[in-house]
Amino acid sequence: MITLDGVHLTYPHKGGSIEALTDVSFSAREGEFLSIVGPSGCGKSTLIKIIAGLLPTSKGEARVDGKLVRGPHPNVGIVFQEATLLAWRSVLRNIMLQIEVRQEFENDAYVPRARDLIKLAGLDGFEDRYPWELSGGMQQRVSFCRALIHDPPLLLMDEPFGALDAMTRDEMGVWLQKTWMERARTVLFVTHDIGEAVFLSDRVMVMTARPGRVKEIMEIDLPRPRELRITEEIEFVKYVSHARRLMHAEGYY
Amino acid sequence: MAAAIGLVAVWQLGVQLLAIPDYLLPGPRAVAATVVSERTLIFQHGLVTLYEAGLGFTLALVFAVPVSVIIVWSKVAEKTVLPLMVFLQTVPKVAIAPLFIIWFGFGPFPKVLISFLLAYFPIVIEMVTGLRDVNPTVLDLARSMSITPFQTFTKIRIPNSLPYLFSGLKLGALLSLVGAIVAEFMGSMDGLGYLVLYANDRMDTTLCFAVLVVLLLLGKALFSVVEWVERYAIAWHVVVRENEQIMFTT
Repeated sequence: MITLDGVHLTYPHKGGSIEALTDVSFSAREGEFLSIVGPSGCGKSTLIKIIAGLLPTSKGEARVDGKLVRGPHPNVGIVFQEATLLAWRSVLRNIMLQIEVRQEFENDAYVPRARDLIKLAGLDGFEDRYPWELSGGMQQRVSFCRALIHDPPLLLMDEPFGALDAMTRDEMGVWLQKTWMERARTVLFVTHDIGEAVFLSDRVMVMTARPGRVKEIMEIDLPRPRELRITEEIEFVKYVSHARRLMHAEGYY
Repeated sequence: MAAAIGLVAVWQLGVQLLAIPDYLLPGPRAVAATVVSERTLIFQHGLVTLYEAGLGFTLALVFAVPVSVIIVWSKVAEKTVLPLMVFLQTVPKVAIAPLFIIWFGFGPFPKVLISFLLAYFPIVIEMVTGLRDVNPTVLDLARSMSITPFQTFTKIRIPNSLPYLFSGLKLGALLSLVGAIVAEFMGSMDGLGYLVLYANDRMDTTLCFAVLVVLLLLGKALFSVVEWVERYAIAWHVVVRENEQIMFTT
């Protein structure tokens, strides 16, 4: 589904240049939930941008569905750390932005689907509310709906729970797993929270920083659906401490 | 509001206690009486000024909005039109008003022109800021949806700029009034600016004050009209702003 092959990224900085990513190669299977964890500055958000076609690589190539990524492409939905809702649009119209902007869809046909997603996200009755009337967690769920409305086979998430409090974060994790299990699509999930990554993922890719490179890809062999109490079990803790040691081995916390 | 009432009370008391003659400083009661007794005169001249300022402001709005979009749309315009505007803005408009009287005579046209020239600049500056000041992540998101440059404006940049546009319009409305009055000072046969000079020449300080009070109310009225339109046009922003104020003050 996604293949990165020897991706390098350097950008100019104060006369010299900074290497953000060095020789990053990995692939994600169809329908897989793959998390990318690493300290800040390891280029994990940059990876998301490269795969979405928002940023060209300096060397190497990224492929989605076998096709070389040369720019923004239709088969993707993105969720960022900020909900990035448009203040002048209601919940429904924020979700519909994706359809309005992408020329390939018939507008009206997607309104019922948007309403279904709103229901699924537990936002029933909030269709016509504006972003300022919603809590942070609700806003983020709207942005999930917006990423899902055109039913993309690939979902990219850049620390989507990063701005939420711990309670909401747990709830959202359970909700995301449920949503993903109902309709398995390939998910690339960037986070700095190792526990969150282990809880949600089929595989966890650990990165190290400056320059960002892949340290190890861990297979998470825990049964689904996972409940929050799994985080207290020994296998879960083993995965978390292994990933933490990988990151600490480089001297980063 | 309470401060305004207090000020008027102090003014009335001061004038009475110190026995200041009307030709130096008339009290509010005398001024109010003149506003009433000279209402026909003030109304006629007020209409002229309102017409000039209103037309100048409308032209400023009609000119400023597309120009702002062009400046943000095109790198070339950003590097040519905007610096030229800022440069021209450094020329004091009030100083060129007499020239316009020479060129365009005593009619309403030079007044409308000065009014326009004073009002358009803050509108352009505010709107350009609003068109540019979009969260970069929102632009990333939009790009991931393969948004066209045209849609970036219609769906994101222009709505984003509206709160800024309205603060530019509030400033512009007041400045358009200032422009009309100043131009009337330079040479005219009617308008509230003319009436102020006329009253001054006759040492009729009370009439002068009466006109000033009407000008004050006119400025407030123009400002309120813009605020009222804003409340309906961009309720999504006004409500948020007011909520923030409540949170800030409590």
